[in-house]
Amino acid sequence: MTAERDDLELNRFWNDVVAGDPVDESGLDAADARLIRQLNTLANAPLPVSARERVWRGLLDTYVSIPDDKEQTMLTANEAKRSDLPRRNGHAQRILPHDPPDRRMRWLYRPVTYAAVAALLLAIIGGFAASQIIGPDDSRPWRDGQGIFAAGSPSSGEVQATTLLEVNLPADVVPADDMGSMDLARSTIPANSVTTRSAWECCPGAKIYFILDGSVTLESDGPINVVLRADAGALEEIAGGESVDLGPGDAVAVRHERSLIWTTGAAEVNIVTMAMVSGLTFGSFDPAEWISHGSQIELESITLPGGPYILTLSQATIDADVTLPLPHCAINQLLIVQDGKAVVGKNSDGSISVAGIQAPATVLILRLSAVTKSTGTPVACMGA
Amino acid sequence: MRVHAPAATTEAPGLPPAADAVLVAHAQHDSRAFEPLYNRYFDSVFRFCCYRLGNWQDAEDACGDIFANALTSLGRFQPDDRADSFRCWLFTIARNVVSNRRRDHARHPLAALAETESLPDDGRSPEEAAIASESHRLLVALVARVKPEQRDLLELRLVGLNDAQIARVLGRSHDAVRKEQSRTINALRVLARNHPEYGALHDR
Repeated sequence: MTAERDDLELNRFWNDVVAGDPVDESGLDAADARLIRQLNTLANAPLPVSARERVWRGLLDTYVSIPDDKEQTMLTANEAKRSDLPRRNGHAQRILPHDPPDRRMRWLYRPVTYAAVAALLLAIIGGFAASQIIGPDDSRPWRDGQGIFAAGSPSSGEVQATTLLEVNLPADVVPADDMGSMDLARSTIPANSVTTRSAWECCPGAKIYFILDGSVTLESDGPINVVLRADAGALEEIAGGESVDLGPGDAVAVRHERSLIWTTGAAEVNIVTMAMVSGLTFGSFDPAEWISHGSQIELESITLPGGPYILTLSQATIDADVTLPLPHCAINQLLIVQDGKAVVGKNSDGSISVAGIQAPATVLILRLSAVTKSTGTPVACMGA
Repeated sequence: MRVHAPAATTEAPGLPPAADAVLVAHAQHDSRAFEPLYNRYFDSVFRFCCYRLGNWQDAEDACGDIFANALTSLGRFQPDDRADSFRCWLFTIARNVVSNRRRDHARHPLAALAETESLPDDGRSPEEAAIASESHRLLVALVARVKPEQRDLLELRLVGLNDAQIARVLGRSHDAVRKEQSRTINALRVLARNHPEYGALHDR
């Protein structure tokens, strides 16, 4: 079959699938047909039900004046320009979910805006000053004295959560200024296995593993930091080439550029992976032999304030659909389901929606916040 | 001002849907008659914006601009004799608005439709819904990795345009679109083959 004939067959099939017509895939590669059907499922993905109403309301407010008892005619483009409707860049007024402020009150907004800008500048300067106090230390991935907090204490928040791990990351281990990808994943390392995570020099950053259950021996080609639950959360540095045994509640922090060898015993090991790396990476870079139980990988470039940072992994039980707002101290958050069934979605404001809950589900929540060294107080919360 | 929420459709049940040309002619005389066109195309335009902009809030804002542009330009719109004339015109506006907005944005989030505001009860079990959501997320991520011109084409395909309509919106020849979509499918297959999560999910 010629390439042109292939193009025509694929096109005819795709048109039929899109139109919902009966399809004949006899002349088409089966994998192509399968992929096109899968692509077509995207067209049926759920949409936010309220968007239609909000956009329509914005159109009515801006362009379609409908007095209840007056004849209505259509506004032309010229009429719209002559009107006092706010416009920008030749486009319509931005459609907002909230009503715009009353024009008579707008004079009030100017000083408020100045105050907000001044507060933001102070926060940025404070964050920069904090990062200068600590300074980068490339020789070791994590240094002692940078807070490791006791695990197991309940964290405040919109759902009752238990903190599994709270680790203070130096500014230099999180990609400076612009983080490309953030990842939260849960996996199982098979029993009686030796698996290798290759070094990824492409994408500098930080990677933290937390052991949920099971025991594993770990060896790296460079220095790593471990947080041992048995030592009340003390931070310990392990030199390259040395091995360390990790059990439930233990964690290891390593630069993404390091290679790791994981050796398990008779029992499988359940593990949580957290990563913050530069560049738009795809996949968790965990060994292919590991069994994935789901992940939330955000390929969104995030502009970071000055570090250092606190990374918090917590666990919560959710028994009804809920939206978890991004705490005002946090830069970003991710969530995955550990046990149970739920559908998770990230919203543009950083909040996370958990839906489809029919029975209590256990979730893992990862949050990244900026802090100062001296107080451990998230920068955005100073003075709060 | 009277504000009401538009229904998903305002066309009479049991009757064949009115042709676009009829609805356009009404709306050109009375902007209140724009509502059936809005209802007919909102979902596909919104979906297109989601794919292109990466999040619902930006997509919603872009939708406002697109329909406002369409509404204010409708008086000058001259449909040809093709049934999909308005559809192609609307998506040409959509593509321009979204391109402008993307130029204005320093960042371009990719995992767009993984967002959830409310999920319709479509009879699926939570497990099926979770798998669908995961599959959806991975597929969107794959689409985000093809070349820009292929992504252009895919995003218009994903909102229901056929090859002829895509050719008109993109201003390319029919033949070029067909060849490009074959190359796009090949590129997606390579990306999918090299992605373990995607393979594992679809081998279940």
